[in-house]
Amino acid sequence: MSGFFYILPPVIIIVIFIIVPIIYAVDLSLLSVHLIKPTVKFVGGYNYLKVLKSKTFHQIFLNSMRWISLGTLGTILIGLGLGLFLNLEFKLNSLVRGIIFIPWIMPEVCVAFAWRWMLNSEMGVVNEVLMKLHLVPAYVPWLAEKGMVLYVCLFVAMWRIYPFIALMILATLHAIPKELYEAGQIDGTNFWQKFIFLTIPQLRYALVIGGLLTTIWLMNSFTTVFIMTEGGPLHYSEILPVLIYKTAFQSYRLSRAAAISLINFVILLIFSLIYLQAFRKHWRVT
Amino acid sequence: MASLAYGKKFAIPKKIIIALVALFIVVMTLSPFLWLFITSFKHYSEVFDVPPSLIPKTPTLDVYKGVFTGEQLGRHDPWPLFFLNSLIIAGGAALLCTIIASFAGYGFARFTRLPGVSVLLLLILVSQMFPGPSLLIPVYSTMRKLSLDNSRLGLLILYTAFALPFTTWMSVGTFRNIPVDLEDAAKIDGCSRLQAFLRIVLPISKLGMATTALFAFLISWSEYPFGLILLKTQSKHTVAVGLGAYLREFDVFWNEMAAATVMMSLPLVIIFLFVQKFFVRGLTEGALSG
Repeated sequence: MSGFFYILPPVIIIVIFIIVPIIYAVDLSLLSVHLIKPTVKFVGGYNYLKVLKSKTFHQIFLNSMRWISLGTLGTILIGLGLGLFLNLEFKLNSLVRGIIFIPWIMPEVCVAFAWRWMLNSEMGVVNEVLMKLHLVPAYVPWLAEKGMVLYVCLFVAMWRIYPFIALMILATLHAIPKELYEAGQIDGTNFWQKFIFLTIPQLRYALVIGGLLTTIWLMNSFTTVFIMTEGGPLHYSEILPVLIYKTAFQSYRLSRAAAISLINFVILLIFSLIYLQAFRKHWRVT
Repeated sequence: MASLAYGKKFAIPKKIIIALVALFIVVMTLSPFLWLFITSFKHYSEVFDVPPSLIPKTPTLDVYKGVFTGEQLGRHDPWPLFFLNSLIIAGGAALLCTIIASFAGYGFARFTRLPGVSVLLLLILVSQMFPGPSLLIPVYSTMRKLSLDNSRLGLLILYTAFALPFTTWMSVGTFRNIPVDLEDAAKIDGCSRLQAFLRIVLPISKLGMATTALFAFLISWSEYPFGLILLKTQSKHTVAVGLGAYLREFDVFWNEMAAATVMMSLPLVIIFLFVQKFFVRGLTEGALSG
């Protein structure tokens, strides 16, 4: 029983600061807590009704879905490509491998500021370089164009995540037994056949876990959008996390924000449980 | 890997293609930091040059001096204090997290027959997904109830809680790989389990613990949204929150922003360069297996 002395401390801390708040959010979302108005009453599902009926919410929800789906797809494809590339033998390979991880090490605030500055529409260096290379005819307002801004922010968010996925895939590639390819060699398979029938099945687990982790990380990304655009112009780059913050701390509707948080949380929970399921199959059972 | 080679007749162009791709990747990765670095040495007037100058015309250290002394052009923020706050909070969280996660990792790896252990481990595994914007509002309210809002200690504990799920999980993996025989030998020599853990097992799992500490330090040093909502008094701000305050300056003092950003990320990048190999391995293995 003394084993609990080792095990329980993190469990207690996690319960107090992560699990209890989630339960508390349910309670909060059924009330009418406003950060400035003192009166609080029980309003039941009113907050949810208000949120689900709001046109702005629909737009932002759609943005979030685009953010997650395109972001996950893009990150996995880039991560896979990069992982395969780093699996080739060439000079300075380990140097490149070290360098690509730096974006993941960098604080998200710094990354967001760096890109916001690079993409500045009047004096941004990206515009200047693209102009010099004749890739764009004039300076592009990257963060002000309503059809583009969400995807520009998404690019930055992905730019921080794909190194991790690439290195995860690389680690899996290194673990593939060489005999597998040697057997393929004898059967006379070409490069693409080997890739599709030998490499991809071996990578399936890493791709699934990487995809789910990316989805979860993208659902939790707040700082990139908040620093780069604050969700603007209007709501064109706004995603659920930013809406949660704005509802609570700019409109002071704490209970309304709790309702949105729970909607976001339920989606997160679904992906987390799928992750857990995928993970458990591989879990080394003790 | 030889198996992915395209065949000998393309040997030379392949080399060039690889070099070009590698160069593209490196440029894509480093250019934002390089650009920040360049901007941080520019005078205020030069920041607005169109087209932007790729090398500062009259490089200056004034911007850094301003940030160090709290005498910036744009804001008068006490940056040294922000750095101190971040160091205390992230350092404290890393220390606390490493201690708790090491004990727990060992516990989960060894006491597998205790009732409910696998359920608790699952809870830990799934709760690593939750710290994020969905928790902003409830954590804000919870911290207010516990009188831990607007407090550096509160944030330290919160960051510990956020880092614990993943670090405990990593730590379980570390201790599972250490053979039990070692401790058994120590126990025959008269050590208690705790002594065996502290004297025999911990010292050989140094790398795992270092990875844990670094991970906790990294996420606490970088965390922005919770710091933003919980720390009201400016003197308690972390670097991330202080940097975020530049948002309100409407794209003006880019050189100061750049200098502060460089100072905030440089320590992490330097530490990372030293520990790169085992750190990346620890993280990716932690994410892929147990």
